[in-house]
Amino acid sequence: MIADYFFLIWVLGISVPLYWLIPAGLQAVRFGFLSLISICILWTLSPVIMLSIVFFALVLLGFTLAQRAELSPKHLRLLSWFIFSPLVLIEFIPAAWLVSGMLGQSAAQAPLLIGFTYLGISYTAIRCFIMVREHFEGKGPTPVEALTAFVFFGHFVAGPISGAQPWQNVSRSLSGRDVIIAICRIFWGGALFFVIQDYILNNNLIGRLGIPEGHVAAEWLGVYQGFLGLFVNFAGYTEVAIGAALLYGVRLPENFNWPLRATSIQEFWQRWHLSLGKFINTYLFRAVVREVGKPSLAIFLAFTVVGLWHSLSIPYLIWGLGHGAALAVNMMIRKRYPIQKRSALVNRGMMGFGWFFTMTYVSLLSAFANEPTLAAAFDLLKGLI
Amino acid sequence: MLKLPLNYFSRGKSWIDENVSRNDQVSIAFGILGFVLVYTHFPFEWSLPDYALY
Repeated sequence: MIADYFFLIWVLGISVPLYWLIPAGLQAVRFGFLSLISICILWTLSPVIMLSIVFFALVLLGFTLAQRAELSPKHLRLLSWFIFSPLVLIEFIPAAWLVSGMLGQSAAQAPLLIGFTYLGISYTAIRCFIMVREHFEGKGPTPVEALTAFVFFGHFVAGPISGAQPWQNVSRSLSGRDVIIAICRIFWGGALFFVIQDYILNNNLIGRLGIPEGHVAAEWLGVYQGFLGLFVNFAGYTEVAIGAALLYGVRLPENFNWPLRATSIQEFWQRWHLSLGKFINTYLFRAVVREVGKPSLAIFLAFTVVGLWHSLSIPYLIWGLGHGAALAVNMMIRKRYPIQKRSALVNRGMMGFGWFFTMTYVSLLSAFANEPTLAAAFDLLKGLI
Repeated sequence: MLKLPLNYFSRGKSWIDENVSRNDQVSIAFGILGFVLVYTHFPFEWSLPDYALY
């Protein structure tokens, strides 16, 4: 999605009819048109984003050429992990010199590359990685498919994450069903992102309950409120991205399956951020299981890496360790104590407890990781006791 | 025999159930709710923070 909802509606309203006016046989031209619009939008959002896209496109090209040169597949697979190495640099490089050089803006106005820009670049790194791996499997995209997958304005900042597959299976015509569903999802996404999120986060809901500021109960409710706000924000963004892509005939993967209904941490990750979960399962978890042979250790290591992918910070490292440890324990418990037949009442009680524990745990980790500094994160924990 | 949406709660499948998948029904219901919320709250007092523009 882009910065302004009204602007997004205008862009879709003008570009979608023009896109479908291009003959179906000229799919590459359709994608070229969509890429051009996306590049214009991303350039206005952040010139640094465009630089990163050029970089990742060159990386993809480099791996394609290396594969044609018949370099060892094992070495190439190992080398593909270095696609993520720029993220280490990007997080610490002030954008000031880039911005002042490109736009003539004051360096003092340009902070570190944080927020949307960093998120967008980190998602692009994953897309680049998946497309490189697809190339190794002989399912790589054409240059124009890869470009469109990189720059599509709908999913750039926060996904859903996918390689080139949705762009390779694009519809050649637009059905009435797709138009209705796309419009519905864009409206629901807008409502989540702009209306419901605002209501949850900015209405002093805790104060209205009569709980004084600084009270332990207020702190705990604030943790749940923050997680709910994050979910609504993320889900809203994803709904708009999926709806916008559908208007161009592209079916992006789903990202959520009612995650707030999860009754265990394992189930939570089967419902939350599904496209990232697929990436973790395919390229991290299975790879480590093949090497180490221990699923619980593999899941722990995979989530530690994912924590650092979110942000190279101690709070996010603890977020990754926390999720990894909980999943590993969950996996071991399931293996040692398989599900047994119990009475309906006991089952419901256990599910209720599981739901409460899961929501509390993920909310707490999320609140901890999103504090700006480690000291602030520990202050948050102190406030909860 | 064609069953109209009014028969939704009656036994058997309604016209909607036979012609629209359950996922699409959910999307359309949330879409209508979303339209009402967006329409009643537009324009939003919200914009991206400045840092997002870098």
